[in-house]
Amino acid sequence: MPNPTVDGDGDGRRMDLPLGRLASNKRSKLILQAEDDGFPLNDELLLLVFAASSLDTDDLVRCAATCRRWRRLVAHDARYICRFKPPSQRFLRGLAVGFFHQSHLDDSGAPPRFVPFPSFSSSRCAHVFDDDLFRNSRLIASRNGRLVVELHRASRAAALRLAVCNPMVGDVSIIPTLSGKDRPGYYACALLTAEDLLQTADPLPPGSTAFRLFLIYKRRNFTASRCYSSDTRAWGTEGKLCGAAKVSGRRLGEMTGGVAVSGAVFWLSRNVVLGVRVDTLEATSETFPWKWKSRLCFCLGNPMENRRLAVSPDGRLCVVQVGRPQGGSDNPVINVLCRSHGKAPAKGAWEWEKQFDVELQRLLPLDNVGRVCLRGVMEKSGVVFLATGADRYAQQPDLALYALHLQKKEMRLVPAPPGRCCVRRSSWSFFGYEMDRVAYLTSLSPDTNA
Amino acid sequence: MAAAEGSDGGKMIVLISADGQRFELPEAAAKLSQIVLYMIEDGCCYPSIPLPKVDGVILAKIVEYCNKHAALSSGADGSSDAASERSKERELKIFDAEFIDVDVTTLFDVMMAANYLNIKGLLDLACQRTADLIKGKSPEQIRQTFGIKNDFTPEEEAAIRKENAWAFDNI
Repeated sequence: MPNPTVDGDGDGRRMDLPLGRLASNKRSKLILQAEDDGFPLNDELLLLVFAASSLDTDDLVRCAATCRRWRRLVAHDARYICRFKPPSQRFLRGLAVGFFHQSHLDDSGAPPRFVPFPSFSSSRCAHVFDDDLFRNSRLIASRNGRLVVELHRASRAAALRLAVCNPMVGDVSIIPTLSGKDRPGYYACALLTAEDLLQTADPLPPGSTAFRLFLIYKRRNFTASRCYSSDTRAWGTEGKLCGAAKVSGRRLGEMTGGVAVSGAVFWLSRNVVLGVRVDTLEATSETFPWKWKSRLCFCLGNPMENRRLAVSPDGRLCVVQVGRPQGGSDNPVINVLCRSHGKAPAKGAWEWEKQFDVELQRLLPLDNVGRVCLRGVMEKSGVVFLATGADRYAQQPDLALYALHLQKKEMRLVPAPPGRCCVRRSSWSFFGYEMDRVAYLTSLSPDTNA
Repeated sequence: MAAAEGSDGGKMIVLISADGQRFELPEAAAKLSQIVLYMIEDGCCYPSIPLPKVDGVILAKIVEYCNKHAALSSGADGSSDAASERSKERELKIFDAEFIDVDVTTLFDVMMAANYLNIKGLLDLACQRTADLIKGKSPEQIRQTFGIKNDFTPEEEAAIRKENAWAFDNI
């Protein structure tokens, strides 16, 4: 991976030379022979243009479709191009490539398995968990191109060992073990990348592949946090959350991977939204105010599982939930609600407003359907996974699994793993997987799909 | 030393374009170019600085940009309160927008000269303008705008469109 800070001429004066010229010289013999675009700007300047903040990811894809040289630059220097780019202002449907699924019901210890969408032709991701290391592991989060896995505990009580991997680039980081008095009991985690930490006191270098893994867990008298940073390859010291948020250890253990908005991480536990600022450890909890006729799914014995947190393309915390509309018809509907912009209200609660509804009746067959279960929400691509079943309490296997694109309101049947709603959280996991945009742009290269 | 004195007493710098045209500008304006700044610091800017890679027509544009930016960002009149700062900023924005609204050939020449002379603000402006010309366009429209030759085979182009159909949704 090229280093993003390069001095141009050795004396350190030209600080802002893009990678393009240096990086592409090495491969120019292989690739340049077929390039003839008649365009006057050299690679270095063209990369500066691509890096300009107004070009979004779909603009860059169309640039790559313009001519061979542009495609080479977009694909090979995607990380440089996206270095200072603000997050995309819209859902990027193309990022969604499938899901990872895992079942422990048969005690085989099988690692998570990747199930690609039919449209995803690459063989990447399929073998990321082939290593013996991942036997008896448990997938606990998927965010922005990366997965968090809890590795097998040799002695269940002794230690917590986590791994973070990016299956698109085949990259696996084993996080140092937390054992002895450092071991958390029940915990909730959140994976944070450079763009999540822009607005904090301790950001990551822009555009780097570095990440942080943020945990919160209970100590005897307080709620603690700890953060692993991939650039130092070490856990930081234990911190103590401040503020009024109260949450039990068991609830922490139930919360799936947090989402990040403006330097804070949010988790959902039933109808309570727990927020923690990553730099100050200031914690808030609020009750999600929306009335909800939810009883469409009893995954984990609990109708609240049909609601997930996500982030809207304009950077607001949102909630995606499946329910029935208030009054009127009985047909299931997806509600997308966003929290209002701006600073925390001085008193009272944040305001939430409904963004849009998606009526499911027109999109999928609902005859004989007794339950609709929300299986996952992918925040960058805006793709939502829904499973249907004939019986409300999920004694029977799922009828079908669908991927719904929230913006286009387009529903696709996807190959489903055998299964039904899980009874225990530890026995089953399902996480949608979407690439980060650098991985996506890199995949435009003709030699990466081979 | 043959340093010329400007009308306001500041030093003047002389730049010579590739086709031999002479441009005289205040030192503060010339220093917006990192390359010229280093030459001034090293004392090798007299009697003039030859710029063999920049054409006279383009150098005239560059000098216009540097003069305007140096004059408005100097704050030498002592009235640097917030309101006048804002109005200067606004004036520069309007100037920049009009300055860079040129045909594609001139735009690229300005960008290459700004890169060669290392004038960061102007380079950013030209890159941003080029990006704005790309934004929201289809590959065919991008090729037309910039006169780019399509060197993909029809099969290759169809494959890219098919595999990335989402990016062509609203085009």
